[in-house]
Amino acid sequence: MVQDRIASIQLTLLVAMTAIGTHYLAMPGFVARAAGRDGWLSLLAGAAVAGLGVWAVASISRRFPDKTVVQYNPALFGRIPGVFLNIWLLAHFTLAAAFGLRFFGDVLKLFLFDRTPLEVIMIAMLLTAAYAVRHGVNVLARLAEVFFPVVIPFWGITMFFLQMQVDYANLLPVMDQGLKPVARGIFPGYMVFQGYGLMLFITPLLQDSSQAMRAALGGIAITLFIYLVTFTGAVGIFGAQHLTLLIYPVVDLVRALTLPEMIIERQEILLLSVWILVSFLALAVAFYLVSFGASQVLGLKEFSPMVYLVLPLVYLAAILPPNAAQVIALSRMLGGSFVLLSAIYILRAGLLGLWPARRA
Amino acid sequence: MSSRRVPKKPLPLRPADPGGQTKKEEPPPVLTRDLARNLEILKQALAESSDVVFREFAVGSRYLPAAVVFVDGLVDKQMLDRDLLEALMLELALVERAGAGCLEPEAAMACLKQRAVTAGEVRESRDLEDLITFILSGDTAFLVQGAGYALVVNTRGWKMRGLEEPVNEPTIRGPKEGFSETVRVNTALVRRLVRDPRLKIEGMRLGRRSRTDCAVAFIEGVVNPDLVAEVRRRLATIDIDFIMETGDIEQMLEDSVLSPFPQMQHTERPDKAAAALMEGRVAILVDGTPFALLAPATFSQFFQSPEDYYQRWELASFLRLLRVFASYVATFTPAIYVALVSYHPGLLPTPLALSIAASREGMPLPIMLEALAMEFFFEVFREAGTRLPRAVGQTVGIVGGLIIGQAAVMARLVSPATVIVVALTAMASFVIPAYDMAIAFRLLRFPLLFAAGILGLFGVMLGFIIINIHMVALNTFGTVYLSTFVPYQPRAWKDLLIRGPARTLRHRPEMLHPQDEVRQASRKESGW
Repeated sequence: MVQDRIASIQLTLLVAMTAIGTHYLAMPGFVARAAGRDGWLSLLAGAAVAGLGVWAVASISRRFPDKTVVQYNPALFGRIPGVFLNIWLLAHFTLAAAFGLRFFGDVLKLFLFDRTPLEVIMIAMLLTAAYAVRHGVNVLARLAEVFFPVVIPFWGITMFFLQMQVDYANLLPVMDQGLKPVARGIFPGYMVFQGYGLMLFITPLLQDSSQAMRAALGGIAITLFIYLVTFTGAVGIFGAQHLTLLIYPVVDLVRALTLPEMIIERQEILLLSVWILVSFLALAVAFYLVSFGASQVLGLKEFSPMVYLVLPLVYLAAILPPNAAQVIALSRMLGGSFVLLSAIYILRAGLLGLWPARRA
Repeated sequence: MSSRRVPKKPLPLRPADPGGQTKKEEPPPVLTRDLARNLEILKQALAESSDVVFREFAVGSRYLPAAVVFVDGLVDKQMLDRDLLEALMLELALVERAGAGCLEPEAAMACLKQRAVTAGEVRESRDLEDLITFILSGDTAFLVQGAGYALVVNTRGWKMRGLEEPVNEPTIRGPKEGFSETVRVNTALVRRLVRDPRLKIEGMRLGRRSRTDCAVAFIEGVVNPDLVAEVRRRLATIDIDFIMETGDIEQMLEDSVLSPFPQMQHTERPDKAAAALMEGRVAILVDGTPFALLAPATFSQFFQSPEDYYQRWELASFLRLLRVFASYVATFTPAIYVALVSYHPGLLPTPLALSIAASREGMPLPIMLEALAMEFFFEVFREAGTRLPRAVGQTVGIVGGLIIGQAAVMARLVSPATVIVVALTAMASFVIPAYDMAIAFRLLRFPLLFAAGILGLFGVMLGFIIINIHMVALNTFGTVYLSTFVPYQPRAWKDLLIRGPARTLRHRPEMLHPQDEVRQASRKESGW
């Protein structure tokens, strides 16, 4: 059995769960603020852009079958821009991990543990993530396979029962203000698909790398489906106006669920407990990418020592923002960085014919 | 134990080296052609053992000196008398009278083996150490003057337990025969179920001093050869004086020492062992224990019982789902209860939350300690019940469970809800068919309780995550522990949580990389 190779279904689930784990809870409000009730169109457009990004990464990876992004960057962009890009990528994923951690801590503190210090929640989570990351990407991929069937039934049942309360008329009229709001929504609509960035590092680890594109597109499709159902449900229940005011609309959505003869009250706690799994995975993946990428930049054979170097960095970056506004600023910055990086790689992939890459 | 230093080779066998030339590679001590000298060496090696019998006699009309050596109690006396002593002393005379005696001293042994010894299993042994091991295993050594080797006659036969129904793995439907303590009987039980000539049963001895007979069984052409090689390799690394039980071997062969989960499966049931062999696993049988080891074991296996295949598939599937569900209940219920009551009472319906709160009023202990204490005492009762003689064990259950539980609630030391949770947990944990897996879940309850007491539901979820990280990272003999659930192998899911209809189970589990994947022709192919 080959170690540290992952199957394409695992890549699919990783892409989906990494995206959902970081952005799901805030996504509807985030998109609605930019695009209003037409946000679902923005999500579709965003997914299309993400598909383009997947194509870019997959076609670049095909030129460098056994190399990760930090290994082929110098060959692709030239030595100095390549090194610069590597540092940028590592910083980006460090901040992504930090944002995931902080966001998670904030949500948990807000809804579950108002008296537990944020630090305790974050450290417990981070140490658990370190334990997983040290085992390598195989374990993360298998965890995705374990968690997916745990999470999806919960989500499906919730959404199923919500349908009775959703008023889809709230989605109408479609595009009454023209294309402008939809276009404005593409930026947030694309950002929420960030998870597929892990392809940059993980494609060479696939059992069958020719499947990379299909697998990642599958992941984006799953994400898109979940987002669309959630967004339309949120608009249908709250209306676009109200939705823009909510920070964690998904939590409110679940809270709004009322069933006759409820067995449990405050079902959002249940949702959050299950969401811990997905969120954990997203954090662990970002954490892994940084450790793995850094070890490759430094030319180390083993990446596990890097885990302990990256851990305090992630923690510091996560604890640094003093308030929620700063955390949101961090998320915007990450989004901007992600869009820029995507643009660079999509352009570069498009120019592969004109400007062939040197052999690494 | 005496403080005297024990030499590594326990038997003083080596005759003084005559020339002293071969210093590096001493040849193994071998038998000489001189019977008296051989017997002297054997007597020296087996000195002070009252159970070793040396019987000297003469063979044939030329009165060739001969001897048999055996251990009293390990040999079948009747067989020894009939097949060896009688044959040599009485019947040989008849043969000789017919003019075909074994008269030449040089060729006597070969001739006796051919014509006189009537025992079924006979082999020659020149090596003294081997010979002694054979004698101590219950074989009889037959030595003749001038031969230079001994004839080892299999006369093994001792008092043994009959074949009984396996106590720990009872089934309602299915064979009632269980393994016993003799490895040869056990291999025969497996062989009787699998008559494939490619069922290989390799013998080996483990334990420097105990020299325990072990057998490694597998079906060639089904099993992945790498797996067999790995089992052999790991067995060869065992260098210990005494093998007590397969439990010993299991712990020495397993991949992760720290894991609470069993990484090999033990069974008392020949049908289970045979089915595992057919799946492409390897079985290790050891003399002196009725438990066979099956490697590699995966998580799902411990929730399956051979009976699943004997009963209808709907029932079997229901029972499997029930067991998995019960095991999660057994592990997580106390932790979730503590988390809900102490951190998230809002999650409970208001009437229930209120009634729990009311019943907890005035309780001396915080909920986590209360649950921990109850779990602890429950384990005490359970252990007390297992260790005591069976008749008294029942009393422990009644006194422990009923009287103390009832009194504790009435004295308002613990809340009734806690008692209910702990009792439910206990019952749920009995559903798991494999004892070693049940223990793993029992152990995991305690750290989960702690986590729940400290971090509420978040703690429980972290516990769940950590357990899962451990399980997906665990490999046993190169197979992922959570196979075939993770990595996804959908073809095998027909026989995982549910047990599909018999005709649909056409393939062996992929995770074992069997050489022959198909075990059943499809309905169409079989001409249904």
